[in-house]
Amino acid sequence: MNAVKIYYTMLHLECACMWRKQLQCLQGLMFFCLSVVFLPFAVGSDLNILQAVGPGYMWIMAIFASLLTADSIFSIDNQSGFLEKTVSAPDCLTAYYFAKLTAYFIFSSVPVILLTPVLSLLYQLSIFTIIILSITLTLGTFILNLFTLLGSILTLPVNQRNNLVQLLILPMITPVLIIGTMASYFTEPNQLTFSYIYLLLAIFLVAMFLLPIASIYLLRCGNT
Amino acid sequence: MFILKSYLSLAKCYDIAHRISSIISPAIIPCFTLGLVWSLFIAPTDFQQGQAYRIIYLHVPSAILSLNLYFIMGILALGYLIWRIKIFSLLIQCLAKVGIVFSGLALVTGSIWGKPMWGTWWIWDARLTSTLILFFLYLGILALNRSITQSRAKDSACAVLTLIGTVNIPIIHYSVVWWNTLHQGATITQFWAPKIDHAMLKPLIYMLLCYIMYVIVVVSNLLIKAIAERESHTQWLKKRLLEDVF
Amino acid sequence: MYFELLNIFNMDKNGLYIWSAYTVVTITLIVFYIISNRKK
Repeated sequence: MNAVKIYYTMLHLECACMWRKQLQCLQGLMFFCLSVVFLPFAVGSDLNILQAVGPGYMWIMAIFASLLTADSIFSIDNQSGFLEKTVSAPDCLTAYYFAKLTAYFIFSSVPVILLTPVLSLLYQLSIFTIIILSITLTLGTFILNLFTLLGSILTLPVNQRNNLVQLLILPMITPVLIIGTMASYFTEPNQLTFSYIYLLLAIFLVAMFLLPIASIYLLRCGNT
Repeated sequence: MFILKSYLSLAKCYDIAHRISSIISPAIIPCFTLGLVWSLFIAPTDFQQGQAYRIIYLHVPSAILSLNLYFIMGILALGYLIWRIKIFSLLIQCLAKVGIVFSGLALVTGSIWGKPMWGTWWIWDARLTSTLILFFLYLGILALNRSITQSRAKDSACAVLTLIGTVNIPIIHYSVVWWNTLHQGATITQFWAPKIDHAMLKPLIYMLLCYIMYVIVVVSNLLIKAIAERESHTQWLKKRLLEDVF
Repeated sequence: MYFELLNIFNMDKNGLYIWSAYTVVTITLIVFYIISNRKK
């Protein structure tokens, strides 16, 4: 079996597993929705404040929502021994990693991204801001998921339920956060926004190249 | 090359660390006292800021060292991942502890410096924010180190984390500088003038050398403890510990 | 020789900041050295 077929099989498996655990998948989404809805109760419903704080706040809450279920990505496979079996076959391991990455992106980040335009209406953000926010959030959460998988592999040997992934990943995700929010703060189309999006694309390409190598290496040498 | 290789064994490093620590530790207090006296009383008063500028003699060396220690840790992590040299992973552990203390000190002295200069305890300028992120990077490495119990997994994980952090630091630094210049508020940040008088530069370099000496001693002590903890079941360590007692 | 900082009793605010910074740093460095030197 070649790697692509293994990838599709594992992706199908992951999606079936996640579909059974619907409450866990909705954890991030519920966190995101609740935090976005409850901000005006905390800061007042003055639209100037909400529009000034809104895009950045939604970015941060999207990051935390994606990080909520980070420690359970590999833990079940690790406990059941499936991870050790997968590690011993090289093709299998790469396909397994990318299947986990895709499944994690689909189930923890995509719902957030899909709901962002709807929730941005609560802050009355302009249409251009909503579009740019969605684009930057897509790129940003994918980069975040790359880092999150690496973080959960790093914290695999830890036996307790922990929030260590967030502590490890957040300093590294700061440039993505800065660039993404700077892009989302423009209310009208102009030249500068797309330069930020190109920068995000550049970081995405570098991360997509380097982080799977590091993660797969860690999976292999951490388990032998 | 093989002679160098023998220095990488844990027993040899244990002895070297003991020797370094016993030779340099007595020199710390005199050197630091001289540095304190020089920076507090002998260095001239700045006409613009008065006495408050003297905090740079504490702030700048700890900030420089906290950043450079991270790069040294990155190189050690690369060495560990390529050649599996065990002393490198122990050194990363010790340097992380020193790094946390120094970046914490840089933050505290930076905010104490900020009070007379800008009027507030904290200001979101590029250097302080970068040091804050560096503090969290160090905290992450230490937290990971303490929470994993198997030594092989611990070493690999901390090495990969350190390496990725090292690659990330220039990106973080430039993006924070960029973020800072675009979000300039009403306050004007005053940067330290690049042309610094010789009489003020000399105590700065001297304090930096004092700090480096302190780092060497503390890392040697921590390394001794880390090696003793890691190799507590081996014969050579039991022999050394017996020799220490007598 | 600039001995203004030695007037501990008539110090202005700047002097207070400097002395507090120096004491914080000295105490931290001493405590950290003692921690690193402890025989378990």
